[in-house]
Amino acid sequence: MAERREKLVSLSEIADLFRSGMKIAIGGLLFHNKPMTIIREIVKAGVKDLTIYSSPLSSIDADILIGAGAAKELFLPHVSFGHLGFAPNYRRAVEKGKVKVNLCDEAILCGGFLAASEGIPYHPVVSLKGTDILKFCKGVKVFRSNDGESIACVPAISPDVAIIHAQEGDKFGNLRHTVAVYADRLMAEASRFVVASVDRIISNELVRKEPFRTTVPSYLVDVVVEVPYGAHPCSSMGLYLHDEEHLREYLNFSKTEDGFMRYLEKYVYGVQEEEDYIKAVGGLKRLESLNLGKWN
Amino acid sequence: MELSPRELIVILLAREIRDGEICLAAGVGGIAFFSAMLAKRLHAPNLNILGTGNNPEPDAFFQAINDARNFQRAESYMDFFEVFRITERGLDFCIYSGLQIDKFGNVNLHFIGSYPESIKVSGPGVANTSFAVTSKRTLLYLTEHSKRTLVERVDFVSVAGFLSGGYDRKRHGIETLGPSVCITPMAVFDFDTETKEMRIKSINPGFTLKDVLNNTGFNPVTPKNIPTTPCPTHREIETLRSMDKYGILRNS
Repeated sequence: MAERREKLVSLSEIADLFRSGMKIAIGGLLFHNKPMTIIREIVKAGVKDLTIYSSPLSSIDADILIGAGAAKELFLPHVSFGHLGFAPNYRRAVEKGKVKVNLCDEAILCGGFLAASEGIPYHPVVSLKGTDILKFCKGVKVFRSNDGESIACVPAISPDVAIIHAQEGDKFGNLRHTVAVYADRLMAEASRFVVASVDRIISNELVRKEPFRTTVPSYLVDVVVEVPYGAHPCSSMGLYLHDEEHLREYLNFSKTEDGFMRYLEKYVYGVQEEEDYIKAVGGLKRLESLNLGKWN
Repeated sequence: MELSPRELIVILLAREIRDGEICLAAGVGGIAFFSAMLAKRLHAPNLNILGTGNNPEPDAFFQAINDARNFQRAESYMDFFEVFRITERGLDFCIYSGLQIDKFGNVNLHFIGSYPESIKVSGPGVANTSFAVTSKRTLLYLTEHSKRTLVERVDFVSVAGFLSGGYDRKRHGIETLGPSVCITPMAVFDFDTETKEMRIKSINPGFTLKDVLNNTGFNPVTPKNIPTTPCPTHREIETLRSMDKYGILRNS
């Protein structure tokens, strides 16, 4: 009898899934549940000219890709480090015109993902009236009915690859988020291919015991990679907090382009294995201090 | 009791929130979240505070947007299928701030300069501008009251206020009320019912009309008798400080 296909791969196989010029969607929100290890692999592989979509808030995930010159075009409603400040590489790239920025909003992205997930070309959005975003956003069309009513519609967004991070999942690609799913499932439904990192692999038996806990089902997921602390320096919600000290260090390094290159050297290009990365950011003990323990 | 500007803004915003309303504020940013939680504890026990975690009851508040600890004891979680639906359907109110706010209550969170030719300062953008269109009303605030932040016309309309004033919202097919207040460390503004220009509603304790006018980048509607904003009460301050265990609002 034929065996069910396992989707588990090793980290070294991840880079090969990406090609220059692809459209990618990044899950999570701001600096939470971001698939950071996968993003560092993309940077290391020297992938270029990406079009990047994200859940409505992004931070270091998009900022690293932009700073490393991997991005050509952006559909990112909000890029910042929240209370820690502006996103340095994003800001530089926008002000110097180095990257094509498409103004958009949560409704444009979610409407676009929803259209793709339903297999329809547009999704109506009533909530964009009056703003300059509607004026400048690419692809938004106003449709008029025979009796003169009009409605703005956003085009379907169907990324080549979605990259998402969940706290746990099984080897067949059933993912479980402990707290927030954000737009991860929405993107998974809209994308052609889905790559997920999880902090730990759990058994398929456990998944079957608690099917209501599955947040992104296996039929939507193509590849799973197990990376403990795979969201660092972002949080993995419910497991560990974002690493504020490291994020501040990133912002300090990134005040200049040269500084950012030194950051990449130290934490991205200069580390081959995941263990080296953990060592570089202060060791496992330090990372464990970010653990939430029983939090709710 | 000495209050920080951010504490004052939270207390004044909380007063604008009514019992039984539905808002999106959980985890979004310090001020909006604190304001809603404060209103809920003071006078709005039936307020529904939505966000990544709905109606949370955290022991303490943390500064980072969407810090998981801010969703402790949430009653449910919300994903972006649901966020999209409520964005389109609308809520009772939403709270916004920005790089600039103009005399018609339009908010700029995107760019200083002209888009796309010459951008001088690129702001963070805004995750969800649409709530300003579909929510019944919006509450605006600024932590800095200056000619730089309160301007004649925003460089970019991220969040729709009254657009060019008067009935311009209606002309764009927007049926909701728009901004009801704009709260700064110096004053509380509302909007003229006809022209929709910002109007000084009250001046915060410790400031004069001259302070307000000298630091505003346009001529606000200035009624003859402008009251002083009612002082924050002990109950408001103590409730807020019991929530803000780490002094987020005091120290930043």
